[in-house]
Amino acid sequence: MIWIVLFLSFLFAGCDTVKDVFVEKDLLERPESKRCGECHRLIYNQWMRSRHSKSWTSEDYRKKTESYRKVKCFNCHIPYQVDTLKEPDFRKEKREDGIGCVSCHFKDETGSIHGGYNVFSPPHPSRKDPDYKKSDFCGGCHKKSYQQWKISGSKKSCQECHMPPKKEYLIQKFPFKYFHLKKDLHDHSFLVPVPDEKYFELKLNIGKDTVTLYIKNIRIPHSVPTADNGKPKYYIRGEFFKNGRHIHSENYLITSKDPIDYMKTRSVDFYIFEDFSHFKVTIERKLSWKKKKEKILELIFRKEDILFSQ
Amino acid sequence: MGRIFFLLLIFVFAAYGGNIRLKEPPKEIGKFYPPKSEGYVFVDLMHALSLSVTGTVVSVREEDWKNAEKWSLKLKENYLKVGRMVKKWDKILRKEAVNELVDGIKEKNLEKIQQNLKIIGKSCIQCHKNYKVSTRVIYRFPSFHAVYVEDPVSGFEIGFHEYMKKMTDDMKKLKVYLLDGKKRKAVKSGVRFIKRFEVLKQSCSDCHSSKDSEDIYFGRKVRKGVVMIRNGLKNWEIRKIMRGLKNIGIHNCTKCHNTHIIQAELQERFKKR
Repeated sequence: MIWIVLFLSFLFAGCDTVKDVFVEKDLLERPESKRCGECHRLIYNQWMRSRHSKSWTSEDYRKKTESYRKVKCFNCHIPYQVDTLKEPDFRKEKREDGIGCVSCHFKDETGSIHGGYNVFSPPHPSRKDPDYKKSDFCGGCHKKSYQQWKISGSKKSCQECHMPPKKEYLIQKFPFKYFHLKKDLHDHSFLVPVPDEKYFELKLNIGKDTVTLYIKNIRIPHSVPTADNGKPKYYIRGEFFKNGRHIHSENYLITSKDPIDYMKTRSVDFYIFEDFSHFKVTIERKLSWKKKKEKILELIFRKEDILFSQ
Repeated sequence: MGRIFFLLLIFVFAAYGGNIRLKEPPKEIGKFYPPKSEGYVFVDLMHALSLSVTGTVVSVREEDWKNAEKWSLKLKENYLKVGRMVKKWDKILRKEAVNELVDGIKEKNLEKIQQNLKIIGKSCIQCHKNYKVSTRVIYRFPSFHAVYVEDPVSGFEIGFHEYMKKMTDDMKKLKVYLLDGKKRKAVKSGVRFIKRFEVLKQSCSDCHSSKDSEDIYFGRKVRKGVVMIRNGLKNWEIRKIMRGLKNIGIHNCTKCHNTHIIQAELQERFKKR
């Protein structure tokens, strides 16, 4: 039925008039994300899993801002409108929505939804905006990581790793679902991929009293851990063994203040208090909002191999 | 008997005069500071009030009566607003004086203006004397109680005070073991101290988030101090370790303590009341 109505509307009234008929005005009044989710269910569900959806309601955020005492955090935690390389202003309403759909996609200047595609969307005007595929778009808030990425000279954008695409429909609601063909839908859960041993180059050196671990970030085009705020961490554990018996271990905590920079070598000393036969290196990470560590790599070296490689 | 009582009274007052007393401000003022309000509403009012006083005085001195009236009306508005915001203070405002001041300016009566400015000024001084420091301590300065640090040695997240104690203990033990020539123990304490000291930086930047402010408390000289301790431990160079500790002490510990410790201690006392 809706197809017939649409067809007849186009036939008799022309595109511009039809556009106005089907506009759902509340969509142009900065609604909450769940309203967008009525049609864009897939993206909404991804966003619900993301930290962006919890940027205001997260218990961690509440605690760290002493119950929202730090107003300077508002700009990026409840942004009104996100623009390329510009720190946003904060909004006064619908704060529970955090960094919601309209924060990034609705622009006051055009009164329309901006995104990566030029699409026919009767309920709201849409505009294609190439900025959505550039790291610059994230740079207004994620300033530090953006600067690190910029220095790295990488061709890969933030979106390529943290919003990987998958062919899907933009809309899940019938009949709008079939208005467009499947497109590259970028993951709005804003993934933080777990690196593995391929991302780091490790070297060991035995000195008089120490084993020195040299670690180089060779594939992540920003420092790790990285953050403007929050407390993400990397953990480096060195364990000494003698014929299978654990004799001594030492943990190092790497913070975003002294991170492992892209293509730079970082050294960590482990003191030898007893002779050893094997040395095990374990690297883990813990994202700011996670309670559990995630394993990145675990490697065991024989003392002879370390000596031989020097 | 009366004379003794009188002498005792003088003695008590003389002794009391040596102490500094801070009055706790009325609780309702808390509504105008985060988290209950967005931004420092009461501080903004104080700034506006202070500006309108200067505007009034400057304009009167220059006999710019039009602007003097404008500023005095602003002064009146901001002054009376104090009483509307904090009911307890409404009683101590000199409302008649602020009205008289505006009238004096309209009449270009310098004597009247001077007299009433003095009365208003005295009421400001009185209030500031009693409450300015305590209000700042309680409502303006962030609390260290909200700061938790993940201890790189134990792996547990602990309160800031406990963390500082552990880190300081490591530093003192390092010195003791160095002086006593206990190398292995000194190395262990030294390594623990460096680990804890470096992780501390991430907590400081919860508030001091800009690179410039970070450079003040974890700048080049502090980093050099850390390297000196690290290398000193590795090569067993006691003088180098001591110099590194001194560097950190001067360029980090002293700087931060001088900035924070007084208000943190005062805040603690107010909280305990």
